[in-house]
Formats: sequence, C-alpha cells, structure tokens
Amino acid sequence: MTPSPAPRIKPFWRWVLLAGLLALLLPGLPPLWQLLIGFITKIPALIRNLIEIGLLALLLSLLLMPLEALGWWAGWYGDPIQTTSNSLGQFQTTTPTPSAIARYVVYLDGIGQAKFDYLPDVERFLTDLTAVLPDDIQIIRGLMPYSPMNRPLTEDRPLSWFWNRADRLKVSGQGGFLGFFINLRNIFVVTISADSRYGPVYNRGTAQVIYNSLINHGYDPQSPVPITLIGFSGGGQISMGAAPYLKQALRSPIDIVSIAGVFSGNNNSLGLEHIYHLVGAKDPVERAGPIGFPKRWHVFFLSYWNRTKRMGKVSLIDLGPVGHQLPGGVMDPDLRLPSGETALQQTVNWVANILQGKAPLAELNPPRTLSNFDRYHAAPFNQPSFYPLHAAVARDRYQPVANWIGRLILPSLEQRQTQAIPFKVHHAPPAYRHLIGQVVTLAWSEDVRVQAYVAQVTKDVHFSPTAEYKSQQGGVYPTRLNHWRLVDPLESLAGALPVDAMIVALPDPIEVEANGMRLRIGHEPIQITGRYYGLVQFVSAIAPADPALAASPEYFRVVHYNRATQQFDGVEEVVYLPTVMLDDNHTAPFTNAGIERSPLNPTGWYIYGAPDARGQFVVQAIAPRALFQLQPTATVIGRRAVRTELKKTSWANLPAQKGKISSTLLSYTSASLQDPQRHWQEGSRALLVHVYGGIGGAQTEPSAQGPVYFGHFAFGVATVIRDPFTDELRFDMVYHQIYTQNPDGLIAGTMHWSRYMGDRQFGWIGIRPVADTLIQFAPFTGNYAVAPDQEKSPLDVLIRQLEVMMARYRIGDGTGGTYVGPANNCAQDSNQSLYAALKHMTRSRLTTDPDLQDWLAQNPEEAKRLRQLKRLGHDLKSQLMPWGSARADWSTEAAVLGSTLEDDPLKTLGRGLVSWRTVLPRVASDSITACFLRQGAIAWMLRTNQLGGDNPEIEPLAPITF
Amino acid sequence: MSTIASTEFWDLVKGAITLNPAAFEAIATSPQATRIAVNVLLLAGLSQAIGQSIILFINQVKPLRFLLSLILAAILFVFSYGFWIGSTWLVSGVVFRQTLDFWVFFYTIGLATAPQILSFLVALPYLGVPIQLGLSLWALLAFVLGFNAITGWGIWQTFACSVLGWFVLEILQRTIGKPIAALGKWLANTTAGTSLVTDLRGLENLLETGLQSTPPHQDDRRP
Repeated sequence: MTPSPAPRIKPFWRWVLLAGLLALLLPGLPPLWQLLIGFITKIPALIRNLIEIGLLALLLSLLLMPLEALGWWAGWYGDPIQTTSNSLGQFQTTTPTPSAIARYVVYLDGIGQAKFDYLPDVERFLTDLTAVLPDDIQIIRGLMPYSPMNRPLTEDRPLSWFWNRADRLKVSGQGGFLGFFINLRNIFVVTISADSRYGPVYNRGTAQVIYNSLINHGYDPQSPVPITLIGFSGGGQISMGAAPYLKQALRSPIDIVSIAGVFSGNNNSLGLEHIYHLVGAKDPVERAGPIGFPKRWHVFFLSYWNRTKRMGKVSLIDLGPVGHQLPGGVMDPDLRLPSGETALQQTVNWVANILQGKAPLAELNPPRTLSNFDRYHAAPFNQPSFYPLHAAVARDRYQPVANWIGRLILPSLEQRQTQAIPFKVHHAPPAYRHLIGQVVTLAWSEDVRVQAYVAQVTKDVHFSPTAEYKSQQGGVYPTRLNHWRLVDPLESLAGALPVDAMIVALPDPIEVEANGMRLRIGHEPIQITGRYYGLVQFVSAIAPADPALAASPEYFRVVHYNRATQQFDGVEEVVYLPTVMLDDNHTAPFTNAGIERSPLNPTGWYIYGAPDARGQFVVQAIAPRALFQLQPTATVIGRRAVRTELKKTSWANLPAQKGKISSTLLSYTSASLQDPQRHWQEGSRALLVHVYGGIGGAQTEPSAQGPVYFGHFAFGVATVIRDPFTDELRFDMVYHQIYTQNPDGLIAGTMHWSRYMGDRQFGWIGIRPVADTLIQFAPFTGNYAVAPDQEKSPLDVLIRQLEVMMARYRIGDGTGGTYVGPANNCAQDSNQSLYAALKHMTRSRLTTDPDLQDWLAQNPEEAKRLRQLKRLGHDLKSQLMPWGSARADWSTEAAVLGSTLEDDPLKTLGRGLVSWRTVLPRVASDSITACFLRQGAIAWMLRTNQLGGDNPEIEPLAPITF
Repeated sequence: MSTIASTEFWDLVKGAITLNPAAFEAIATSPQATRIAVNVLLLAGLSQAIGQSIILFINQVKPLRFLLSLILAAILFVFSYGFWIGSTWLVSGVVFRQTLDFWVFFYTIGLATAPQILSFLVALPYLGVPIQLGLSLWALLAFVLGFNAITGWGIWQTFACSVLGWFVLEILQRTIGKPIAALGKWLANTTAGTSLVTDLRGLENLLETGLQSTPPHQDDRRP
C-alpha cells in the first residue's frame, strides 16, 4: 500500500485559524481548566480504589473457588456420583466398536477452556493427531477438566453470561482482556487441584468424570486395555491429580502425556506406567511449575514427583525453541522450526509416536544394569548343567552332602499345582537311586503346623513400582512370579532367581510317597552348594600352562584325610578351583593363590563340589575344619571379661587377623564350663547369632565407603554331629537368613554354611569378616514334653517364626521386594521373630494348662528350665524393647515389609528407635548374647576374617557398635 | 511508640493486629473491655472455622447445618480459648507467683487473638498453608506483646507460662474436665448431623472410597 499525499494548507491560513479558535474558546477555559485539574488530582485515588476493589474481588473469588469442588463432594448439588455423569465427551472420530480399541486416550485441555468445545488451535491439533493415529487408538474429547462436576463455565452458573461473553470474544480473537479472566479462573482451579487439602476432593471429582466417560465409551473396567491421559498446560495437573484415583479403580496401565503441562508434583504418580513431559525452551508458563510448586524442587527429594523421576518413569522431551500458547506455542501451525516441521507437526509427531510406542525414548530411560548374579551365572561352572548327575565319586574320599539333593524348578503358569513344585533329583538315598536325574514332585507336608505356616505366607504377587524399577537396576527380584496368584513358599524359593538354579537339600523328616515320585517336607528346603564333600589338605598349586595366568592357579594337588592314621596322608589327587567371576566392584569373592600357605591349611579344609564332565572334582565351596571343631582357641570367663571380648577384642586389630579364624568360649561363670561333654553332646543344638562386617581396603565396597558400616544380622542353628571322616564331634551350621533382595542373588531362606559362607563364588568366606556366636542354653535349645501338635523346643518355635519371615521377605508380602530401613531390616525382623517365639512359648499351654502344672510339680527339673526360660524372656524383652511396650507392629505380627523408608520416613524412624538395640546388627548380637549369658548360658564365638588365598586388594572391616 | 486513636472496637483490633503495644494498654481504659475481648474471640473463632471448613465439607455436612456448625465453632472457640486463658492465669499465679486480676488477664489475652481474625485466609487454595504458618507466628507475637503489657515478662517466661497453662488444660480435659470436653464434641456432632471425622487419616479414608460407575447415558453420547 502506498501512502496517499495529505492535503496541504498554506502556513499563513493555518495561523489565522488557530488564533480565531483560541479567541472563541478563551472565556470558557478557566472553569474547564479547574475541572480538569480537579479530575487529575482525583485520578490516583480513583485508580487506587479500582485496584483495591479488583484485589478484593480477586481474593473473594479465590476464596470461593474451592466451593464448587467441596460442595460437590458434600452433596450440595445432588448426589456426588450422579452429578458427574452428564455430557461425558465423545470420540474424536466416528464411534468405533469398543472391542477393537487397543488404547483409550483422554484429552484434558489447557486453562483457556470455558466450555466443551475447544479453541481453534486445539481443534487443529486433535484433528491432525487423529489423522496419523491408527483406528485402534481412540481419543475421548469434550470433557471440562476445570470443574469437578464436568460443568462448563458457560452453562448453569450465576456468572455464565459473563463467561459466555468472554469466551465468544476470545474465540473471535478480540477479547484478549476478558479472555484473560477465563485463564485466571482456571489457573485458580489448578491451584485447588494442587492444594494438599482441596486437591484430594477436587481430583476425586475429575477422576470420577474421566472414569464415567471411559465406561460410557465402552471401556470394560476389568479389561487390561491401557489408558493415556493427555494434559495440555493446566490439564497436566488435572491428569496428574486424577490418575492415582483411576489407578486405584482400574487395573489397567495408565500413563500421562503432558504437553507443556503445569503440575505440582505432590500427587502419587509412582503407580503410573510412565509420564512423558513435552516442553519448549521458550515456555514461560510451564516454568511456573518447577518454580512455583515446592514439591518439584530437588530439595524435596522424597516428593512423589522426585521419586517417580528417580524410578525412571519420567521422560522429559525437549521441544526446542517453542513457547506455550499461540503464537509461537506448542500447537502453532505457522511457527517453523529449524528441523523444517512446524511446532504443531512436531507436537503431533511426538504424541502420536508415544501413543504407538514408537517414540525414540530408549536413550532417555536409565539403562538396565547387570546384577552380580547375572555376572556370576555367566560362568559355566556356576550353572547346574556343568555337573553331570551320574558322574561317580570315590566313596572313600567323598560323602554326599545330604540324602536328598536336587534342583527346584518353577513350573509354567499352566502347569502349576497347589503347594507343590517339580524337583529334579540330583542325589537320593540308595533305595531311590533310580530317581537321580528324574523330575519328581516336591510338596508340603499335611501336618497342621506346616499347613498353618504355608497358609500364613501364601500371597498374590504384584510388583510394586519400586520392585519393578529395582529389578531393572541390578537387583535380583522374583520377576518370574510377577502377577502370580497365591504364591506359596516353595514357589517363592524356586522363582526367587531369574533362572532355575536353586539347588537344595531336603530337610528331615521327608515323607516319601508314590515310590519316591512325591516327596513331602515340613520345613523349607536348605540352600546348599555341592553334592559331595571331602576333607583335604592343599599340597601345591599346579602352575597354569599359560604363564600370564600364573597369579591365579586353578588346579591344586590335595591329600585326603586318612581315618586310620588320623593324618593327612591319604589318597592324593588333583582338584579344580575355577577362578571366580568378579563382582560389580571388580572384587573377586575368593582367591585361590596361596591357599596352600594359609594358617588353616595344616588342620585341613572341607571341600564341597561335584565332578565335572571330565570327572574332575570341582571345588565349589570350601570350609576350614578348625572352625567347626569343638576345640576353642581361647576361653573367656567373667561378666566384665566377656563384655570386653564382645565389645572390643573380638573385632580388634582386623588387618592382622586377615586369613585367620578364632574360636572363643564365653561364659559368665567358670562353673557352667566344667562339664563340656554334657553341653556339646552329639545331636545337641545351639542358637547361632550371625553378624558380618564389610569389605575394606583398596577395593572397599560401595556401602562401606561412608563413615560407618552397619553389617548384617541373622539367626541360625548349629548342631553337634559326628564327622564321617574323622569320627570327632563338630558343628554343622545352618542359617535362617532374613535378607532383602540384593544384586548377589542371595535369597532369604534356610542356607547351609557351605552355601552362605563357604561358596567360593556366592558366599562370603573370602571377602567378609564374620562372627557366628553359638549359644547353648538348655531351657531354650532343649526339648520339653509337649502335646504332639506343638513344637518341642523354643528353638523350634523360633525356626518356624523365621521361616515365616523368610518367606514373607522373598516376595515382600506380595509386593515383589523388601527394602532395608531403620524399622525393617535383617536385625529388626530376625528379632521380631525371636520376640514372637518367646511370646508364643510363654503364652502356650506350657505355663497355663492346669494339668501341666500338676505334671510340672512332679518334674522339678522341667519346671526349673521353664522358670529360666521365663526369666530369659523378660530379660530379652527389656533389652530389645527398653521402653517396656512392644512395638505395635511386632505384637500384632503385621509389620509392613514392602514399604520403603520413603513412604513414611518419620513413622519408620520412630518405629526403629523404639527397638534401637536391634537396629545395629552387632549391637543386637551382643545384647542377645549377653542376655543368654546372664541366665547361665555358654557361648562359643567363631570368627573368620577373609579366608582362603591372599587378596591384597581387600581388608576386613568391622560393623559399627557403641 | 505510637498511640491508639480510641478505644473503639476496630481501632483496638487494628492495633493488636499491627502488633502495637499501645493497644494492649488502651483496652484497660475501655469500660467495655471484656465485651470487646469476647467479640474478638468470637470473630477469630468464626474466621478459623471458615478457614478450616474443608473438614465439614469432607464430612458431607448439608448447607444449613454447615452454617450452624460455623456459628457453634465460634462459640466453642470462645470457651476453649477462655479455659486456656484461665489455666494460664492459674499457672501464672501458682507457679510464677504473679497476683493478677483475672479479668485484666482475660481481656488482654483475648485481644491478642486479633490476628486470628484473618484465619479465614487459610482457606485460600495453595497459598493457605503458608498463610496458616505465618498467622500462627503472628498470633504468637501478639500473645507475647499482650502478656508483656500486663506482666512485663520477656518472651521465654511468657512462653513457659503459656505452655504450662496449655499442659494444665490438657490434663484437666482428660480428667475432671472430661464431661465438658465431651459436651463440646457432642454439640459439634449434633449440629453437623453426623459424627465428624477430624483426624487426617480418617479424612483421607473418607475420600478413598473407590470410584463408582453410573449406568451409561447413551443419549449423552454426541456423534
């Protein structure tokens, strides 16, 4: 357009005209002037008043804003459910058959929305998106997310005329100022949804609207069809708020696509599949979220948003130089991006790809990490198939580890049987030798006690989001059991590892049925390593053919123990100790080199293993004979001396102790030590209290790199048996490990020393310092005359309680995993079992049955033991729970295992404090030992310090005490 | 120190809200001091009830009962606060050996609740929570000022006396005052027409009843 020339007036005439006008107006000027002055002086007050009125109106409207949601819930507008069932939106395209829909998408609009219809840019976005989506992904549109009742601003409200006008002007593009009020009003609604008090009510309402809408569109609430909520701008908060309630009501996976969404981060998003957050770099509105809502700040690391982010459930997608609304916003069809596409096209592409699972997000998710179990299991010698089942061993040199040995097999979902699993027989007593290599059925005994135990711990398994996440991050979780119904303790043991590699010995008594095709047991199978064991001394290492491997010899010449001479001058042979795989800290769990020079070599080693395909005996686990002999290296007598031994000496000067053991007998009085034969008869049992320390030195393990190392606590049982090689009495030790899911594939359960400690790959013998205190106290470890359906000894009650706890830990009470925290950890939960056992004993018929009271009067010895037991119970209770009252969750036996510290930090810490002595493993061990000793028990402390060959990279590290 | 324009109600309230020590001295000169204090308490109680009305909503109280509940809450506030003033007065006499006129004590401390007249602002979405925190600090300051006006005590002694007073009140409520506390609760429940759930966990439980579906409205489905 070219400018048209203005008409010209000659300068002279211009001046004349001006003078004439002035003369005409002059008389009227002064009053006009005064009026003007007066008006001007009043303007500031006027403006101030206007601003004041405006602010007051704003405050009032803000205050009244929650009324809609609150009144809805209180039923002021009619029944809360009925009021949410009108105008429930429609499909974006023509109505399809609901059965053909593979994914439901619900669109929740931004803060510019005033009624069910959208602004033109949003319409365009939805049209373009539908055009590229396949027919089986359907979008539901037309909900009003800024009302808990799905009520548009323009209908049925006192101010609807105002909103109508504002919306009309906004759509026509002229009413910028009035349109702003719609935005402001909806921003207020977003703050209501984000409010910790009003939010639950409001979000409950929108969730109900979305739920009703889904059902109305043919969604089957029982179906697993996934749902996606797309929230634009403020719709981000609305979808985040509603999603947890939807997740509660529907079993289907739900995810959220937030397009430039503004949200508070205090809604529970942990259970959602994923959150995709698309933001442009020039978006000032979205920035209000991470700045204005504290729960999105990094400081509040326990907020739902930050936890969801840590779990890798959030993908932040950068949209480049894009703003929020038009012009220049995420839905701008005119803004060209450097990539050549428009902002709208880019957004449509991302959303369409996300909905179809095609978005290039792989690099955004944290990569899956290998567990130590994955690393170890990669080595052939750590796989069961490495050891042929029919290979023979020389029976004069080797003994079977147990009568019945085999591998637990997790059946497929279709082949599951109630309370039974397939069991591949690896070793059987002579009468059933024909079963070796066959698969038989392993089932639970029908004994009432066993059935009560199985019923107590059988649970449906559905992984919690945390378990799901951690199983991807190097933890060994029972992933094969996810979504199984009624998982019993045999299945949870068989399915605990990602592969069928659980080798166990069956505990006595075993009921053999159907000629051996069905075996029934009453206790949990014992995790073991090796099929056979022998007693040898290492003579020399055979230098590897490859000089590069000279530092890590694998073949050793050994000499077997000779029963006739009671010396190591029996048969010589060569055994194979394959070099173990390194853990994630590059530490070797066991070192071969130098084992023949170990101070423990002269007294010999038990070697556990089996022949490989060549017939060569492979040493899988190893155990120093001296540790198990009933020959203490020291005796400590007296209360004070024992205290010093426990608190200081036993864990002192650790670097010098490396590679050595100690075996110390502890007692408060010398009298109780006078008749050792009586205490340690063949078949007698002792309570085992286990504590381990950390791996220090150059290769310090990550959890020991802080200022303190906590360690680990467990109970176990030591039985005095007669050694088949030497005929002398020795200890046989079994642990009842309450152990959280971990990278090493160490599974909570009953474990033989050879597996938990001795295993060169999976055990701790080579890398951790350990203290096993065996406590001998007849009133606790001995048997009582009881009714046939009761456990004979308090120790048996404890074992049963521990079995319950171990089974619960394996599946995290159905959540897939258990996590360490101050209130729930190995020490706390082991001692919860001890507490339960003692309570059971003192409450049982033993002390209340009148008939029994008569009987006790005639059996003073039994009565005396019972009194001692009762005193022990009181002492333990005052030690474990110094404030008198039991932890509420202990006495009801309903401790929540699956919760993490993050769920309720204060309560968890408080629970831990009430039983503080059992928080730290070593303190717990010392307190319990002291309690027993006070009552006249004797204890035997067996300490090992990183045994085997010499690994200069590591050092033993003591667990903390005070 | 600024002075107070008059002993009119709003001037005194304004003075107390702005933490003007003169207000606490001026109220003593008003012939209607006690009535002013009761009115301040009533207003503060009503305001607080409005600020916390979400509890009534979650308990699904109907509109008329809602209104009555607010009024009752204001009256109950006067009594419960009055009892606390009483027990604090007792403590100041018995423990701290201060001989004070009860009514002077009552109207001065009563006036100090003036900042809580703004408690209705707690109902603001999202901003309400920080406002609540600010208001409680504000009210504490006003309380210390008011206390100081009659006793001349510093902040720690004031604090000790009020906490002890609160402690005594708690003990009384659980022992000989039990029927009175029960009466208050009964009144609140009767007015609301429902057994009010007021603890956080209980409120959450009320909301966590699962989503329910209604029969589909086929006619609502627009093409």
